[in-house]
Amino acid sequence: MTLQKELKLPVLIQLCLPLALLIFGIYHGLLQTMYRAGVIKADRVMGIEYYQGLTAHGVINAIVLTTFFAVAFGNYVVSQMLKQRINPKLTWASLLIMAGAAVAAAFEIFAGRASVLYTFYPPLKASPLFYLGLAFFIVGSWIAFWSWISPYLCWRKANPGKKTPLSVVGIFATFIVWQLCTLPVAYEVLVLLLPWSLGWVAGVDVTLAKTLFWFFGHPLVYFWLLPTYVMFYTVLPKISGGKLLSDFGGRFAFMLFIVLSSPLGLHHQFADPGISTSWKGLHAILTSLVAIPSLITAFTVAGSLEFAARKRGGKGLFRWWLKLPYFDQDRWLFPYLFCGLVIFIFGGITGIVNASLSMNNMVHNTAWIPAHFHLTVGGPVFLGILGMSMFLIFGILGRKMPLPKMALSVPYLWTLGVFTMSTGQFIGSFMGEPRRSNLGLTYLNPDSTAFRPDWLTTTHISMIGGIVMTLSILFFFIVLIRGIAGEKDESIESTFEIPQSESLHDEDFAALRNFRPWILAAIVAAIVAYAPPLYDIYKNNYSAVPGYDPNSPIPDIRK
Amino acid sequence: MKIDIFGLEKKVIYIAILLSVVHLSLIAFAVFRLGITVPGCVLNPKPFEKAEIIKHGDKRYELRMIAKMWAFEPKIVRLPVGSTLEIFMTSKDVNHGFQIVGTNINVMAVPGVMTQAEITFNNPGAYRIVCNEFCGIGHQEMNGVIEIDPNIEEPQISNGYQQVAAAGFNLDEHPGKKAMDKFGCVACHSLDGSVVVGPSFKGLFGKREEMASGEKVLVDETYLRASISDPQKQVVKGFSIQMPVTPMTPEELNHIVELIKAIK
Repeated sequence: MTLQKELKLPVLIQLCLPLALLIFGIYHGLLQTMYRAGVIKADRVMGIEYYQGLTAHGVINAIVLTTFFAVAFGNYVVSQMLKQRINPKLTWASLLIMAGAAVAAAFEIFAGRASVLYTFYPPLKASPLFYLGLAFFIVGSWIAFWSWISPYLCWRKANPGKKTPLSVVGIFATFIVWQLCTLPVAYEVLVLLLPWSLGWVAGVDVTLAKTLFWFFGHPLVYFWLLPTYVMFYTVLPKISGGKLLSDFGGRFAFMLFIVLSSPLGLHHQFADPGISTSWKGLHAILTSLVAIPSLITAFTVAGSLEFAARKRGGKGLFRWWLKLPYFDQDRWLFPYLFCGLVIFIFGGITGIVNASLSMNNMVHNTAWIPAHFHLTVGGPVFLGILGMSMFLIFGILGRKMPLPKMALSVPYLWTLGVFTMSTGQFIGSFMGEPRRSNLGLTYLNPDSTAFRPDWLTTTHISMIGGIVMTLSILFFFIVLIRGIAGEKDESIESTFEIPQSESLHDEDFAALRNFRPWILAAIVAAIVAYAPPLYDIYKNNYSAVPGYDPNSPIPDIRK
Repeated sequence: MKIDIFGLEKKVIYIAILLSVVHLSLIAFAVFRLGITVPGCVLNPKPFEKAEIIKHGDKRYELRMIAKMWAFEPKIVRLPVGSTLEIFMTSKDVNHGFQIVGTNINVMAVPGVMTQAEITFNNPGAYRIVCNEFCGIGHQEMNGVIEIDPNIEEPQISNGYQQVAAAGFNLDEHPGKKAMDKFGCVACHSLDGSVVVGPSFKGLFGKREEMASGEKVLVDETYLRASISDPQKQVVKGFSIQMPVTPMTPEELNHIVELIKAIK
């Protein structure tokens, strides 16, 4: 066992609890594709209203699952690679706070007091407990990160001159991004929204709140993505039978993500009034810089795969692609990561469209947006989380893979499903199909004056995609539960570790051995990008507006 | 075989930078040469309370638009071919989206902030407006249309309930309408017979409505008062969105009931 003994139980809970909640998240995802195709023409199914289910889908899948996984994966990687003691009291504290906060927020959502979607833009107002739940959930994840700092410093002291393992650099990059970007959202939630939700202040500046949200919201997507990048750089080359092409490539990409993750959130607000076009242009320019670490990653990971394929006898300019272990039952984790890479090509390209200033007018808040992020957070991130969660759970418990063929089918089915769903949404978006809308009640309802028959085909394609995705998750849970219920194998338990690839090539730069200059650069970049628009918003002094329950057009009335 | 990996990596970084420069140049071309831009700050916004269309010159119009839960005011805009429309828009309550499908206009309406957009319509046709930001349970109801009509010379706007104007009294002066506006009733209950989130008020009084329980009930004063005070008690068949309890004075309740009785 390469995981510190006392961490075994908390890490297992960190992996299993969000997977249990995911069942609700996936159910509401499937239902949405059916509402949106007009197959369900109602505002609720079994007592759960459409936007309530949509909030649950977003909060559980995109915030609870991703953050819990990052913490669990981080605990394992830091423990395995550094072999320094992590204080289990901190691990438990972080787990209990996060679990309590997640359950409280989920309770508020299912009680119908927080149908404000996972972006919770005011003036739509949720109950105070929902905002408190979100705030404490973030604080819990900070504690996990803080618990790794002392083992990291001990390791550096004990290993002078040695380079920090790449996977640890990746995990630290993930959580440095998280630590920096959660500060503005903590301010938004605790200073602006919570007192307003409690009724202590009458109004809230909507533009300020939304700007602070996206100051957090875009780095959030790198926080989702970076644990999967750690797998791409350190696990994928190993399980495909090769080596990482370049250690430098990985290290440089992670450091660049620390700097470039934050100063670009305004590209989510191109359509907002009240923010100057110049600052939007600045953020469009800064966003395009993220192409650099992304293209380095594409090059290094593809190069590592080529190296592995050629070692396995691959020949030719393109034919070597055939030699990768796509259906190898002993390497069932491979397609979870590989399919994620393939999906991400399309997620990345569609993301460039979103960030391209006025081109965003074509796609803003249309079905294009969920199509795009189901190819990023719903693609490489989600498949990485599924694959690695199952891999870690089986490893920690000492279980054999019970149904390797079924486990292999999950990522391929998911890819098929997510491509089908997003194809429908991409095409639908050009005909004006909005995101976040219960289309079945009006636009897809022949009895409504707003009926749009031209949206029928695309929304039905998306629904078929949604059904295939759900089927894939069903298979995943069958394999997971069969595995957990299976026999314990002591030899697996004692030898299990996360595969770590050697690197084929390295360039040693002193600057890449230290986080400090990159953190400083990140803070400077965030200030340069955000001080001017925040000063503008402060100076323009937009009026504070009262809150609204999503159920009622009367201000500040609760049911 | 020895490959210069670091040399290749440097090339990848240069290519990435070059691609970014090309990409940003194309964005700059779209903004500065083609004039396709995004909304910014409106200097010295002139606040307005009423939706209207104002003529500023030959086929140049200023549209003052209000977005609210869950309707655009105006809902229908009719314009001659070749009209240039400068849109000023704000929200009365929460954030709303405003996309004119098939055009470059896709902006947000934010309470307390003014949005400005400009567009010229050279081709006749119906341009759909969709609210594409979540604004509460009636969000999917919120839509409108801009009709470019070759047969008209002057612009027309309407909120979609012009038939009621012919009911024999001035609707906007009626105290019941004022109470309805205050409590947002018309966000869900139309005055012109169209079905929105809830049953329309037009022709409601004196009707026999079938309840979700299957029971048929006569809509009289007692029923109206009971339904407004305790909306969950009896729900009309085919409607599922739950109406909130509204804290109104007995006087306001009387006015609303009087108006519902008057809208035949």
